[in-house]
Amino acid sequence: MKQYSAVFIGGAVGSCLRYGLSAWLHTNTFPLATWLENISGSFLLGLLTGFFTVRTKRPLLSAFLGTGFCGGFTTMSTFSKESVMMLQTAPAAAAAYMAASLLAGIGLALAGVLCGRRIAGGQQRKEIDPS
Amino acid sequence: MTIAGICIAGGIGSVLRFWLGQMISAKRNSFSIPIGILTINILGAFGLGLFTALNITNPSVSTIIGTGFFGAFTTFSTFSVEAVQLLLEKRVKESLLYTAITLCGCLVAFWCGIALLS
Repeated sequence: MKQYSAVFIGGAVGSCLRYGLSAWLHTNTFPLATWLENISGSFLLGLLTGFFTVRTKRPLLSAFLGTGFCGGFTTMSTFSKESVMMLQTAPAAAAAYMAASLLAGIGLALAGVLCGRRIAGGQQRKEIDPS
Repeated sequence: MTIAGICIAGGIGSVLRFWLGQMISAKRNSFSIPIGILTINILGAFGLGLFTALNITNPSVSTIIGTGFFGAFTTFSTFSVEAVQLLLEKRVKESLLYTAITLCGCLVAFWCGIALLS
């Protein structure tokens, strides 16, 4: 039950932020807001995932920040809608949007996982070897 | 009002994703790619397609359900991280397959949702 509450709160905060950013960064040509949300959320979730592959898992924190916040902040349904709509009017821009989302999303998730591991590993060594 | 609605709808969408993801991954499956989030993303894209085809004129309702609920129910970040985990396990083929099925599946699902109601 606690985990469900953590996911709910994280998802609520993430969704609101996504809405705010999309309203603020509204463009008619390229869905810049969704792109930025998806790639930054991928980086953050990568960071968390990398960190907790080294450190002891914190299920409640992962539920709040990972499943809730990152999951709610990023979206695949809006990405699909924007891609399909753009494919009908500007297919080249649609292809660029899809490629940029996948490449930057997966690239930044990888960078996040590697950074997360390094952050967790570096601190852990200090704890074990205080000298 | 709209913001409060998005908060609640986003929270519900996220919890539903969490619950459904756990249900799917709890079932022992022989698939080589993560089908939990794949199923959720395709389902969410299809749902948003159906909802878009309804042409709701009230902007608050369409934002709360479309951006709030369906936006939060589906996720891009978990997809990216899962694709990376497959890459790090040196399962490059599975990672590419997962990416391709997600992209094609979600786009086709959204389009089917729209086409079904219009």
